[in-house]
Amino acid sequence: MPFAPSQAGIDPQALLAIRDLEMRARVVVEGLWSGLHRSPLQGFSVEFTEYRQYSPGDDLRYLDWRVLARTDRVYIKKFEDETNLSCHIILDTSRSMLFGSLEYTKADYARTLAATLAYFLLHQRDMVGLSLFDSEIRDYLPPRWRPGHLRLLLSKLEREPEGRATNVGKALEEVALLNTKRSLILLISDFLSPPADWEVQLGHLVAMRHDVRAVQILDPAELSLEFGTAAQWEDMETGNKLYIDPQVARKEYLEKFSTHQAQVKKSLDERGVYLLTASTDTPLDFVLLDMVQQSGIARNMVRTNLRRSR
Amino acid sequence: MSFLSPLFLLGAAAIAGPIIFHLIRRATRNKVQFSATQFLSASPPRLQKRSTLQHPWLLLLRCLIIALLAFGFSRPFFIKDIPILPANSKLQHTVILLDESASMRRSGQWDAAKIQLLNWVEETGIDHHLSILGVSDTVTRIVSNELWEKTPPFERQPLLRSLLEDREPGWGATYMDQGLNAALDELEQLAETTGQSAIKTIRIFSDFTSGTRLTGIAGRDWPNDCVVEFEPTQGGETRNVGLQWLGWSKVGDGPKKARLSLITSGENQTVTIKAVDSITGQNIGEPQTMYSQVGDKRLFLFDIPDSNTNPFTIQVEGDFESFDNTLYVAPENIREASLPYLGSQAVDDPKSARFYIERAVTGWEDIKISVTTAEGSWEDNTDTLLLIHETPNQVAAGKIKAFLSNGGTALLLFTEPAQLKFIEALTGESGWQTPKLNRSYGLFGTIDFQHPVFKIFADPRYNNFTNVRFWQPQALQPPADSESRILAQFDEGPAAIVELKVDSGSLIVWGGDWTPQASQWVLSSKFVPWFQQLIELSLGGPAQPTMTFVTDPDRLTSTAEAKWTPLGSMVSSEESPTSPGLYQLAQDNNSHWVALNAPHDESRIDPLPWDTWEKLGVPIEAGKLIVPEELSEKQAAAKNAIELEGEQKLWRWLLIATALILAMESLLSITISRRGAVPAEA
Repeated sequence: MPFAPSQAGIDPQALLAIRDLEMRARVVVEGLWSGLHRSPLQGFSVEFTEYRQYSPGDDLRYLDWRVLARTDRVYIKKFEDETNLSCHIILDTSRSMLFGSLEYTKADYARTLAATLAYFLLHQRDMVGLSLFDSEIRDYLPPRWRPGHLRLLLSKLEREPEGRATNVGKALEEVALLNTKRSLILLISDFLSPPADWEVQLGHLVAMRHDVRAVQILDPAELSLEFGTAAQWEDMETGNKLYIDPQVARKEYLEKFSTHQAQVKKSLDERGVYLLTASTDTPLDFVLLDMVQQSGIARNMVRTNLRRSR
Repeated sequence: MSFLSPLFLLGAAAIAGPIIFHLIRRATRNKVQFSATQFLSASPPRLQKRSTLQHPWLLLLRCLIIALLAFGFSRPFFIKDIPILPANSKLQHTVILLDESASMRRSGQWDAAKIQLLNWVEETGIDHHLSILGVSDTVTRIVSNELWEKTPPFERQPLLRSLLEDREPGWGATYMDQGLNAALDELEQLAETTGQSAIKTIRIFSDFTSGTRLTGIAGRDWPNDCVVEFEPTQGGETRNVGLQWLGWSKVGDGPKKARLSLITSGENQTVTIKAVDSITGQNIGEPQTMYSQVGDKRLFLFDIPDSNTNPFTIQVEGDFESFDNTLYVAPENIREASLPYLGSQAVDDPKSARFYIERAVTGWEDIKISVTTAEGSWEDNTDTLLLIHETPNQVAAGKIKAFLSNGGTALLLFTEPAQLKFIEALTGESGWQTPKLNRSYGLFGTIDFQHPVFKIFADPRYNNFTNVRFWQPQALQPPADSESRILAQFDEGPAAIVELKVDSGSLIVWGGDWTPQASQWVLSSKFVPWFQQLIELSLGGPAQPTMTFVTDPDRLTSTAEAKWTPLGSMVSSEESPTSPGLYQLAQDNNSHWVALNAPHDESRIDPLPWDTWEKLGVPIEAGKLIVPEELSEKQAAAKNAIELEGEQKLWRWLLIATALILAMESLLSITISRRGAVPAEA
């Protein structure tokens, strides 16, 4: 696990009992900040500037006159613009996300995570966008930073999932069309569909030089099948019914599930996508911290991490 | 304990069903939602071990329900040594209806009925609270309950025998509906007298012919505990031909014909019909041979020469049953009326009133009317209706007064004011006036529809007189103290028609002339019926028929002082006759022949269809229609079992127990299912 188990996190059950999504996000993020201050990851802060040769059509305002005077060459000075991180959160809202053996569902957990991330990023003046998908993109909010954007984003997240089937591949394809600007893409899903359904599109995103990260949200019951009784088990997405006795089916299930997980991991690794698997009983701040650490989205380490990822 | 339908006990085998269902895991009914079933494979359903039956209490209740239902349907009952039959345990109220109609006169019927009744009383009814009614067109009490109760049981049968010994059936129709209604009243009375609940029975001893009248009991509310039992008279002839009188028929100037109908029962027959003069004993006309067919209503005409004025009989020969073979016929009572006309108008002048009077009376059959011109020489007091169409001179006035004083009826057409004096002289009342009418024509305003001459117009369909106009009305104004009766008034108020009583006679004064120039009266459709009513009034009322059923002789009489003299007898009686025949009826200073016959429905001796009783809702106990045969031992045992089971009705308690257990089962299963509905444990 990327976080230390000894660390005391915020109990997800207590956190998700808070009805207001913004409040939840604030609780997590404020705790995180205090953690970040003590973090050894604190570093320098430099304005990145870049010169590149002028090409017709460039804005003359950014022409470096001094260089022109000095070298008689026309250079464009670029700064500030790219220093702001553009993050796009893609959240799975299919029916399978509604499963929860605890007092809350995977969807609750995932949207709190998405809200927390958005809150965190927007507070450090980064742009955050949001896509909600099931079989396709159902809701899209382009990356922005402006007053009220957080509220709009949270209101989209509040919506209960309606769809049935998951089609990660299609969602990624649409995101690729909508987000042409290089950005950090956070894909939050349970990744229960086979990798073959989405790996090509994911590869496409990576090829577009997006920094793609995946967070897999799983219920503890999905990980262990310590759940339910012998009964008719209905698939939440397809509605298929099977008579399942968990005692009997557990062994085979765990085998198949671990195989699937390995496939997912392998597929993502092959495309250089970092995967964070979070069980819904994991404290959210740990997950957030891990995200921040791994993706370097905290302001003071943006450069380093972006550079490293490229 | 025994069972009426033991085969239903096999139904208890259905208990195996719930046991098997409880052995199978019921988990399949629960539903669990899961997100990743693609990693799961279906598990096979499993049977629980025998020791781990699911919800054993629920199973027990379910088994019990099935067992109780099977038990209940098999109709269990406890065997008792002596079956308690209702007859032994309860009071019996019985009303016996003994048919005394004319059809019981058929050979052997009456004796058979009497014997059957006596036998039944001896065997069964001796202890009953009994009363016996005789039924024909009236209901007569043969034995009252009071008499029955008063008589010691061993004397009851001899008493009944003596009462029935001299009793004969009458000539009336079979009004069994009347008898049943009387029997129900009698049963009610019996219940009141004894003050105890009892088994109520009406037992009918009759030949049950299709001529029996039952319509009066349709829709009758029968008491719940009442049963009607039947005892048809055994044996007797089933073939019969009877006659029904339909009336006289005459076409043009041809001979008078008697219209008759043949009523055939049993089988088709060939019979001879002949008419015999009852006074001379000679045949009238030629006898006719007829083929009568069952089910057909054979109508025929029998020629009777106009010369025959004697009463006669029409007889059927060659029939198997003789009680209805003679039909008595009395000649028609044709009345004659002479109408003297005191006036000067010509008979053949269409502008005269006389012309229309002549035409109004032409062609009447039931009253032979002759209109004569009376002129000054008129003095016949036997005339019927005097028509006065002029102002009579003093001589004539005296004659008229004498005529009226003798009870005659006269009509005066009041055409000139000079006639007022004649009216005043007749009535002895002074102050009669003839007021002028203001309008150009008069109409009848008020009419006294109670008066015999206007009575037939009383119906609203006929009482519109507004299309009869009077262009030369002569209104009348009787003095205030006049005893005259105003029959009609003009719409302006004064009287139009007035009736004056002169001793026992009456004079009707019509205000105005009847000529078509003076009024539309003689041209209106109301004139002829009105005039006929006037003549009927002057003749003393409508004609009396000369033939009727023996059950209704009063139809022929007009006064209570009528005297009946049977044909061939010198002794007359004021009592109405009770048997068919020819009688000389003397009433109102007049004497004529009348005939009384038995009701023709009694000739229809075909058996009454038994389903008629059921259709009319008569409570008939199954099997009572057939005279019960000796039951075999096995049948008797089965009958006892049915009665025992019907009495104990254990199935009712079993059903109640089943319902209670069913309720418990529902409660238990609801509790279990609610417990099972708690979210599945992780």
